[in-house]
Amino acid sequence: MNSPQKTPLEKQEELLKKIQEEPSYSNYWSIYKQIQKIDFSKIDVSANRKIKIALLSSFTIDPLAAFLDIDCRMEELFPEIYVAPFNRFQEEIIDDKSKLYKFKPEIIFFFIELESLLEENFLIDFTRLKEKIIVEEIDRVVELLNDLLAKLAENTDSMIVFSNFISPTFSPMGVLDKKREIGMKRFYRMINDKLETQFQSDSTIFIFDFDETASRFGKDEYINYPMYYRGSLLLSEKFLPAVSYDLMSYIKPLKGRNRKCIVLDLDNTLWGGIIGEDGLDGIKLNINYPGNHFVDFQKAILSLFKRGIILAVNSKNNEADALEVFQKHPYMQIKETHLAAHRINWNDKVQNMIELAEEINIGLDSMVFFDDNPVERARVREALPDVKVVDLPKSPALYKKTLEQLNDFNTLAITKEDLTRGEKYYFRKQREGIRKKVQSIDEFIKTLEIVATIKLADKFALPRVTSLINRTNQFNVTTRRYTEAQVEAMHKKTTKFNVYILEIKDKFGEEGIVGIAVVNKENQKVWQIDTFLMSCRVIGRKVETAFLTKIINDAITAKAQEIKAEYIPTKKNPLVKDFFKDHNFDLEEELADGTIKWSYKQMKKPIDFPKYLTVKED
Amino acid sequence: MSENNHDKIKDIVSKILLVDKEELTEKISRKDYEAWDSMTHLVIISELEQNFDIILSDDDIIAMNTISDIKTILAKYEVSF
Repeated sequence: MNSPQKTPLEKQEELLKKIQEEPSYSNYWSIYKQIQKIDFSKIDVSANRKIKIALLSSFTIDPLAAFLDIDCRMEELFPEIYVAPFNRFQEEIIDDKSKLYKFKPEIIFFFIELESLLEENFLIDFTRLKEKIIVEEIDRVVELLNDLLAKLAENTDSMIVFSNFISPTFSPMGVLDKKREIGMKRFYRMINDKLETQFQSDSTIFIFDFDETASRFGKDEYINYPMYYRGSLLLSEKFLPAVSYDLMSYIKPLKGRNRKCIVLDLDNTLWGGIIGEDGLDGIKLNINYPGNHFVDFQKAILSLFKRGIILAVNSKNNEADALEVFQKHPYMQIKETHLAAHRINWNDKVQNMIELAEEINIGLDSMVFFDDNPVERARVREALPDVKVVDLPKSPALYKKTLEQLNDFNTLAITKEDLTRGEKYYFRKQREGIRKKVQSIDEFIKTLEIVATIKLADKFALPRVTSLINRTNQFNVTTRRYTEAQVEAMHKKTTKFNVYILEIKDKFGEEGIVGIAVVNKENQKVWQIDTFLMSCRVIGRKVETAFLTKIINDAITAKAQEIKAEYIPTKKNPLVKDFFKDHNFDLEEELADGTIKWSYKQMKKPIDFPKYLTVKED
Repeated sequence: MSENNHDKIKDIVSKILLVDKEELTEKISRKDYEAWDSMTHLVIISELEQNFDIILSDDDIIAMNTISDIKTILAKYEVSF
């Protein structure tokens, strides 16, 4: 299976890819075992990338090691996991020469079924026991655990994560469980509560809310009973990924893999719609549907801000338009003062991201990026693998949930010093490396597999043409508005007008009609570009160049001698001020109102389309 | 369909035993194959149960020593080959 020329890291990467493709239990198990066979001894791994984890448990927990191991590797850590023999936790803790201590774990995860600690018949007799007896049992259990954990803490320097008890869904009392002084379910909750209180101010012992993990997953499903009876394999294989995910909440901050900064796109991420097109009154952001999606998402972000998470903005927009929303929109929850930095411009978001990291003075590996546009996400993910790019669901109804399910923002008081030590030097070095690694925008465009279809509009496209003509503000050279009747008239007069449409599709799907151009060719010798506009979500991918190229080449084919174009400035369209200049048009005249007239006369032979995208003409 | 189930079993067992599917013969036996230890056996059982939506009996589990044993036993649970 292993070819000799591959490095250990390449082998690992290949195996991890298989997990991402098919995260089944057998794959986790198999790949975990295969990775264990790879020899990493010759690889120089820094101490902060290594992690030694011990699992102590009253039940068989070996399969959890597979999930935990792989989840660590996905975080670029190199784990080593010791699984103590099942139900031998007492011996392992008490014997100070035990294998557990020899292993020298940095973190110990400790799981016990409460049932294994209770007096025999206690649960059977529960309904007949006096309250006093129950309270005594609670105290006895808590004290026993306290002793065990104290001993454990005494014998190691490691962080100890003790899982609380999963309260049962069954009580022999049924609905009356709640009518007792201490019902069976409350009995579990009281023990959990006492443990939580007991270790609240302890800096090495953490109580993991295992009960909550099980609730979230589903208490009816978290035990695989057949496997439990056969081999004490309590946790069902479907539950294990959820457990591992929650345990990573401890490992990430322990190893400095936690994130400190949320970087936000704006349009259709922080509010619905596009500010440059829809305007301050038109974007969706209020307490009613559908603006409530975004208000709620912003509130969730702010709650993280209040616990110390840094916020930044990386958006393709006119800066003034976007900032106006922060300053003036009544339902905007996040204000300018919450932002540590922002890059609101038409530059490559990768470059913006690097600048943000520099300005805020954090590493790219501290950043989490939220953007609704899958192309922007792919670009950042590809060029800056250290940035965590969130797969934001299409529906904004799921934005808040997605944010809240991230386990990346945890910190542990104990590692604060570790995290800041040498940080500046490390990050500076790392950033220099990134610059060189960043893929060029052309290479990126190539990976998008863009197909641009440019053709004259048919009558079915006219409603969309009219809508874009009347809505597009930013990438719009003349901002001429036409009614549907006017558009139809131009469309019909084929001798006088060419009404072009541009359709885009890429590997993420179809964007549909995203560009419109109207060319007046009444004077056959001199074609006049009357309208040229594009939807903002596709610009920066050379499709605008392809679109203009098509018009130029059509004019050449038709034996025109010149193409004239204009830029008519508005508050919204500075983006396209140099569009014609950038495409080799010559400046003809600049009028007092700012209008610039351009001319193109290189009509000898057609020009080539940009080479990294496929252009279809018909 | 029958092709499929045979394949599904080979897929599970080969993954868990870390053997190439082509090398996984009907004869490889738990008794003389070191990697097929008791923990691994439990993982195989668990995956078979999940994938075929069955619960195997104790006798079945003990009797499963080879791929062909697995097929014979699954046939009892109306898995077709």
